[in-house]
Amino acid sequence: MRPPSLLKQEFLKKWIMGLQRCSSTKKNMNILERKKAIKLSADVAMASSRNGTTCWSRALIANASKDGNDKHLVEQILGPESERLIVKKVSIGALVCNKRIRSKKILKRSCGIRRTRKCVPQVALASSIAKWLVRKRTQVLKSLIPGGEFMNEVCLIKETLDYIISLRAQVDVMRSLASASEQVNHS
Amino acid sequence: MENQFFLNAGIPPPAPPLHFGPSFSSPMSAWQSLSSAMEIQATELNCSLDQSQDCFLNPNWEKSTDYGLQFDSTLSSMESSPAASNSNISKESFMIRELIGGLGSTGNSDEISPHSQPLLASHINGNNNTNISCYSTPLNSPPKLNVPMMGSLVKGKLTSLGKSMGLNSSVAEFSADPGFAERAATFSCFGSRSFNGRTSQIGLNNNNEISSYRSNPLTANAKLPRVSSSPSLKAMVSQVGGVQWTNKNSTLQDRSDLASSQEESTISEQNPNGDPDLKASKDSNSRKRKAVPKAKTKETSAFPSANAAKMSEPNDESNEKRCKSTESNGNENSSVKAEEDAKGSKGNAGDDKQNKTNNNNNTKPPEPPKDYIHVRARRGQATDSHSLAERVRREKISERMKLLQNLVPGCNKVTGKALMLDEIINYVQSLQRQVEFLSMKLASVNTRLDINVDSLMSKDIFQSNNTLPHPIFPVDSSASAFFGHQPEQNPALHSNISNGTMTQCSVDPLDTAICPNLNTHLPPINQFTETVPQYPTFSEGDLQTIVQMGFGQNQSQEMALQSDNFQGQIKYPT
Repeated sequence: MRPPSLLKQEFLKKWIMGLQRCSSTKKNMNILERKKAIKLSADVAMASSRNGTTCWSRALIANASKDGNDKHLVEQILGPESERLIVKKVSIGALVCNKRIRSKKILKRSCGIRRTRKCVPQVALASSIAKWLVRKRTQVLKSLIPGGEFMNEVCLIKETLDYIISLRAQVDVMRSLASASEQVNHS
Repeated sequence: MENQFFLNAGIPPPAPPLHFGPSFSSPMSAWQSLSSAMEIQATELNCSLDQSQDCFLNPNWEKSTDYGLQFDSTLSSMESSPAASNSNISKESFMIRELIGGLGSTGNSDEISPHSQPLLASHINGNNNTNISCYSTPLNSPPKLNVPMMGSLVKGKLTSLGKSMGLNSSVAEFSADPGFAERAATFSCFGSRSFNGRTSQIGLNNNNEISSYRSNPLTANAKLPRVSSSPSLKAMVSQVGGVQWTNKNSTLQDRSDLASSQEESTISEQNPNGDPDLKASKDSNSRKRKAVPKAKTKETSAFPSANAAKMSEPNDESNEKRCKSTESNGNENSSVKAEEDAKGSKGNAGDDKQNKTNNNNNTKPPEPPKDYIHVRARRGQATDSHSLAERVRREKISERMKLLQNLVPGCNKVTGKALMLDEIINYVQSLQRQVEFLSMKLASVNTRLDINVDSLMSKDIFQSNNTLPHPIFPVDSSASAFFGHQPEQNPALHSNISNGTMTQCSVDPLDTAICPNLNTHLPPINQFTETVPQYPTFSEGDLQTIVQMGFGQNQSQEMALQSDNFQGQIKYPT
């Protein structure tokens, strides 16, 4: 694992590059637009620092580039390799995701068929309740992680690990930047 | 008896005239004739009760009349129905005969044959139940329970027909039929589920989807090795050519389902004594060869190291295809393999021997063993392929959850998956909310998006301070402490700094920017001071300093927030 300092530096560099490109394209943004641009560039910078190795980063970039307005931004932030990253990631990710979705649908359908036949009436079994709880939470986690709904449990946890690290680095850098800007502005 | 048999043959059998020669012209008709012979015998026995010497047939007379009526009805339905239903009957009888074959191969026949006559009456009832169940519901439990009786019934009939064939020979005759067991297995699978071929296909698709995302024939054929281990079916496989099926794959798939269901519970009780080889193969399944899934798939398809080489050609082709597809994978092979091999296992010399031979037979040249995860079943645990895969998956998940525990603060005391997931969800949500909030804050602080560099530089150009070196060092050392790699951080920073492109003059105003902030934070920072390196230049100039500056300001806050990093090496003095 890379030391977090390197990660943060890389993120900061990319983020500021993206922000500069944002500001160059559009002047006089209102606060919400600025906030959106800041967040977007931060997210994309964080995702691109992974270089397409993780699923969540690919999904994040794919989601960002879906929107027409943001696509230019994303491309600018990513720079020259944006075409390669976006196209490749989106296509591969879509293929894999579609396959997984389809296969999971088939699986669920068949399990449903089997379940109707067995009809096990276990109302208050601890294990089943625990399983249900875990499943609920897994669903919530899948909704949180970008691209999470396409993953199975093992990958989900791995992606969560990576995502948490990236998020933490992102938060650190942003916070330091915010406080530095505050200091500069106040003084 | 034979005269009576042929008299009763006036009831037109739904097949060509009976012939029990060793060479069956058409297997279908033979079985149909056998089944009809069975029915006819039953009806004959019912009709000729006064001729029977056994006394206990009488108490069953009333019952048998009822069943006889039903027999007649079934027989008539057999006659009147088109070939489909005849094939249904034959299917049932196939399955029955396959089970009989399984019984006969062990020597049950020897026990049963002397008792064939007295048992006939009770077997009529058994026969009745079976046959009634044939038409009413898909075969589930009744045939299995009645199989021993059915077996003896059939054998009794054979002997009574004066074939002068030993039971073994009769069984051998059954088994000599090309594709007999295959069909039987096919239809046993059909019987165990339903006669809806689609259902079995769907089930197979499930297995395919569970196992991998490869094409269906691949995984379907990949299940074949398990089947071939059954001795009663081994001979059949080589004689597949005699079978005429529209979809060969489906039959093979169904046979694999038979094997899987055998492994489960249902039919295995029918072969208690034996298939000793089947049992050995079951044990050998404890050492399975699992194809490594693609990086993200969770299930692994288990290919027990059976006699795959003995299978027909399509199977070999599928093996090759499987090898190639698994070759394209192979991310976590070595590590997982080492992990799996380190587990405890059921020691079994026979298994090893069998596995070695199977390995020799199984490996086509382009198949490297490293693509398979060798998993051993632990002592006292199920050797089912599904449970093994499940166990591997669970262990992967638990291992990663442990890593997450170190990462998420406050997760150390929590045990249990649900609570852990709760904490993780809360943490991720809080981080995401922080990002939102901070971006909003940044947007509000800066009216323009050209945030830090220009503004910071312009602000601080007018400030000058000569205490540049000293404040920086505590920041850097505290930053290094913050980053946590204390002994190696400074060299790392040095290396980063040596890449700096900023000139000396531009460094100074930035350093002055640090100073006002530093002065306020010197007291808490000083305690982190360890070494005092010299930083003549900064890499990437302002970015680095801003980071360090920001970190210097936020030291106290972030110490509280982050007690550990991912590697778990850090202890912050608080």
